[in-house]
Amino acid sequence: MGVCFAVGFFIMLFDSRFYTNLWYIFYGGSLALLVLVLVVGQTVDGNKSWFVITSSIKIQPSEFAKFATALVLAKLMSGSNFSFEPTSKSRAVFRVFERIPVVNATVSGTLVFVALAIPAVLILLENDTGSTLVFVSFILVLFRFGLSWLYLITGVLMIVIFLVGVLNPPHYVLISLLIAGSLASFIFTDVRNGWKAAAFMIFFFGLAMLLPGWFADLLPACSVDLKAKEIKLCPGYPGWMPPWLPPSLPALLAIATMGVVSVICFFLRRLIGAGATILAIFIFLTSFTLAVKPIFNYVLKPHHRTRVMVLLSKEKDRRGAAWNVENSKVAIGSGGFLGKGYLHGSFTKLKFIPKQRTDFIFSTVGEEWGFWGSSLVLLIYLAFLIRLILAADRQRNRFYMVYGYCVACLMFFHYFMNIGTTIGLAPVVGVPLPFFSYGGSSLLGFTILFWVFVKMDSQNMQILR
Amino acid sequence: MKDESARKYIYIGMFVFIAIAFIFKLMQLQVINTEYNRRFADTYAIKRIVRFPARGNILDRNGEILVGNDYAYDIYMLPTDAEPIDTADFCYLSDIPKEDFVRVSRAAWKRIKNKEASKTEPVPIVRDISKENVATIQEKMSKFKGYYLEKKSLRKYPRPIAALILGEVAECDTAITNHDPYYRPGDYIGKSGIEKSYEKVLRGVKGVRKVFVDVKQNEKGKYLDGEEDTVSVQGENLTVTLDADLQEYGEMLMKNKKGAIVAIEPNTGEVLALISAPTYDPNLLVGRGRKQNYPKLLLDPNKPLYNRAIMDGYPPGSTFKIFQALAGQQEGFIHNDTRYPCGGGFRISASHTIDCHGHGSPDLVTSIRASCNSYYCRLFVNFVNRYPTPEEGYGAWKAYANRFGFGQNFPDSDIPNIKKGNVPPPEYFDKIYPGRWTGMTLVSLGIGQGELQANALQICNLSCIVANRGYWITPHVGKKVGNKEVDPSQFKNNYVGVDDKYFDVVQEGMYGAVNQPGGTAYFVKLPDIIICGKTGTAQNPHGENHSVFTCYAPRENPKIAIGILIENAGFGATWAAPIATLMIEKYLKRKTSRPSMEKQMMEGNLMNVKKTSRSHDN
Repeated sequence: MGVCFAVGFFIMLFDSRFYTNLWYIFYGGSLALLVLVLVVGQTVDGNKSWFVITSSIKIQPSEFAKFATALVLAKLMSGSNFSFEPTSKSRAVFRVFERIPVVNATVSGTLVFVALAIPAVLILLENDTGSTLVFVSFILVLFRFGLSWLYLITGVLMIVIFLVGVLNPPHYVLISLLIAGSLASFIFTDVRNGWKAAAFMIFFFGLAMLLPGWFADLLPACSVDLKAKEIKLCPGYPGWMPPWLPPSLPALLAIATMGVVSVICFFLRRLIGAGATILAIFIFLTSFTLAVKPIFNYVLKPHHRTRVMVLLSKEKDRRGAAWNVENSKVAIGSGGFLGKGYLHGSFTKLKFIPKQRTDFIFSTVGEEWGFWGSSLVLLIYLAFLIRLILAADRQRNRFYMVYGYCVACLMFFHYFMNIGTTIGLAPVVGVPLPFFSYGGSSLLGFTILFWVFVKMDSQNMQILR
Repeated sequence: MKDESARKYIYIGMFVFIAIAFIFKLMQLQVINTEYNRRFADTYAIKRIVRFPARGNILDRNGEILVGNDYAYDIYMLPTDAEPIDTADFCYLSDIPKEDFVRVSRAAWKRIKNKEASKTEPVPIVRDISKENVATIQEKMSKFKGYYLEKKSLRKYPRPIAALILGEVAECDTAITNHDPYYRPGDYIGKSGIEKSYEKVLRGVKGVRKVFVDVKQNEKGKYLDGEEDTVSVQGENLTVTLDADLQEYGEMLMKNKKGAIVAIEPNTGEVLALISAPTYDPNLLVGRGRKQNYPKLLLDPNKPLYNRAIMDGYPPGSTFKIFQALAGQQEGFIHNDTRYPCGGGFRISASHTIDCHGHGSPDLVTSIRASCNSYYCRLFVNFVNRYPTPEEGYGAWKAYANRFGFGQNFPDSDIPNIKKGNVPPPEYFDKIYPGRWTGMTLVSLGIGQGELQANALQICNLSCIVANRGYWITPHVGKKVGNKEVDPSQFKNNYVGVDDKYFDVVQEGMYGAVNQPGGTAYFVKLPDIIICGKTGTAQNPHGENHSVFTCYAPRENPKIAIGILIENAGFGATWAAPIATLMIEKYLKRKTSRPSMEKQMMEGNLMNVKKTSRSHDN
């Protein structure tokens, strides 16, 4: 705690240009630490992500990588010719790539994704899935600076399709998609292109109707056996497929089809206008629907699978996988409206909830302070996050603005995942609650992240428009 | 570049949406389902520790302890703490075969693996280590991590008597635990005898202590500062009507014999002794020995676990003539001077005669004293034939018998599992002799044979009726609970419907049977105690006749009535009558005046008597 005040004080001493100009040192340093931790790091709770200095002082470099990545994003996106949309400013060499529609990839946009991906992959190699997911929250930032809203919608739809598709046969999802896709097409298609456009729409939706049948034959009936102690893997490939082929082949086929269809859409773009984009998304989601079960069974690790099942309330074994989430819900629920009083939470005090000082800190709040206390905490966080967004938005320097959004989105993601886990609305990923959870590295990380932005904000008015 | 500053509201909207979703979920958990969650949290974090009370002692009528408590120890294993141990050392110390240890612990671990049992539940590994042996184990117990000793209370019988009437205490089975929420699997419950009928008094009150436990089941302080804790209360002492000395004496006399003795105080209905032979030492079925001894006793061909005094049915034989004489007088067709010719036998048909000894033409008193078969055969036939149909006649006779306690199981008694015996209903005879039976057909009932079945308690009760001149009090064993007398009104006076005046003759006859020359039990006459009795010899198609005797004493102001039945002992006066009189003497005078007879009776072995010759009915 004292260290954090000191750090906050030091941050305020430096000019904000210290951070804007030395971003590459921070970024390079973080990447070096992340590589170093893979070599000499210690494994704590299955994650090889810790430098153990003494038994009580442990440092997790991924916390500092968040700060460094935020600086890099701010640097890249504040450049004068940055855009997610192709513009005439791009150099001629890259225009060819930038012309690929649907993805709408620009070189500067792609660089942003690469800068994000390097630390994310390194942390994934540390086996720290939770911290890797934190980097997903940076994508939220991109949305403010010109990333198409279709990506956001597609991303949300993918999450929904994944959760629904794990438990249900793909047909249900496909039929719902078809209906939603048809409606969207008819709303957004430019009908002025005449009967030709209409004919192509009908042709493509006809083809799309055939797709599920084609894929359904390809994929064996595959179910998640919920009564069995372990989630049963479906074979993943039909009987006619030789067993030496990779079991994820249907998923690969689905992704290949997606690529082919994207190219076709590219050529039809002029003919059917915005409908092409919708059609592309539709076909992509169709393929994704069919790939959900292979991904679930072959890409995810067993403990990820059980966490998804816990989230979907299909796994309620209190002695096993659902131990922490179910106990956390009981602890919060037993607090009632008024709570049991500070330090009187019997359930949390008796250590029924693992990691109750870090990942499950909110269950202690819920049990001791009840509904009014935990709601108050939620509302304080909400006010804090809104304040961050408003502060970020008023920055005159684009670097500061991007950085401010990064801080807000990181805080939001931690808040959503941490509290969502304790009340069963988000999967267990194991992230700390900013400024609440016990743990030196995370507290120091959030302190740096936050105070640097405070410093930037304080210098905002010095910048002339 | 497009202006995207409006997109900040999408961020704000998203934050607000998530916060609202969280608050709704919190409301569901903390406001709507809070009761469920709170109960769940309590059952997880609060452990009920039950404290078992010691059972109440059982004392005899003179305050001597019949059943007390002893302590023994069980060794439990707590799977969460258990570490591998030196099995050989452990088994040597606790004195169990190694195979047993391996079998028990394997079964426990298997149950845990299959999630049938929790790792935090202690498993009993060794049971019933006596307090003498526990000292050596106790000091070495620390070697065995995860194993610990637990004290428990066991029944102890200072005198090895009255096993069957006292009954046994055993772990209750699922049939009981499913039915009665008071009992949990593994609790002890009175299974038979007095332990069963006074279970609620003897068991005491379980105490409950509620403590917080953490996730490893370690205690973390009292729940609500012990506000809801209750202390266990030891079961109340029960004083029973049995006389330990009399009971022990009776069991000694019945050694190496099969049969039963019941002694009752006639004017109160209190059971003084209830002996079934052969019997066993109740200490055999307590603690560690139970496992070996119970099957042995169960498989013993002499059935020591079977309470012959209240469960077996024997033909009452000639003792039944007492009842006949009373019922006949009340019906009004015989008087004291009614004489029936004896003729040395009662001719039923050309081929079948019930033998008798030739009593001339006896009157009622003589018929009892000398036990004349012909007299009572005739009496029975006349009784039944006085009614228009044999069904009615026999029905009236049966109603008398039932009022005398025959064919009923004393439902208001506190002695459990009394069997009815048998007085068959008229319909029974309709079935086996359809449409063609008369009093003559059933004449053997008149001398206590045939289908009649009675137990020693009912035969003893017959003497009580005579001693009380017309009623009996339900036989019972409960006397005092703690310091409070058992309410005597729950054991009611049962009037048999025979007027007082008719008892003079019967008492005179029973007096004569023991005290007058020509009486069937004259040789057991005591100089200082006037005993009134009636011998019986129950014909037994499977072997030598059973010896039966019923009596009460003294004649004026009777203090004790006895019913006794000895299997395969022949004539009623040879074994049953001497043993009964020895017991009366023991009870009234606390000593015997006939040591030679006592010795002869104690040493007599009637366990393997083969049928020798056809005996006469007396």
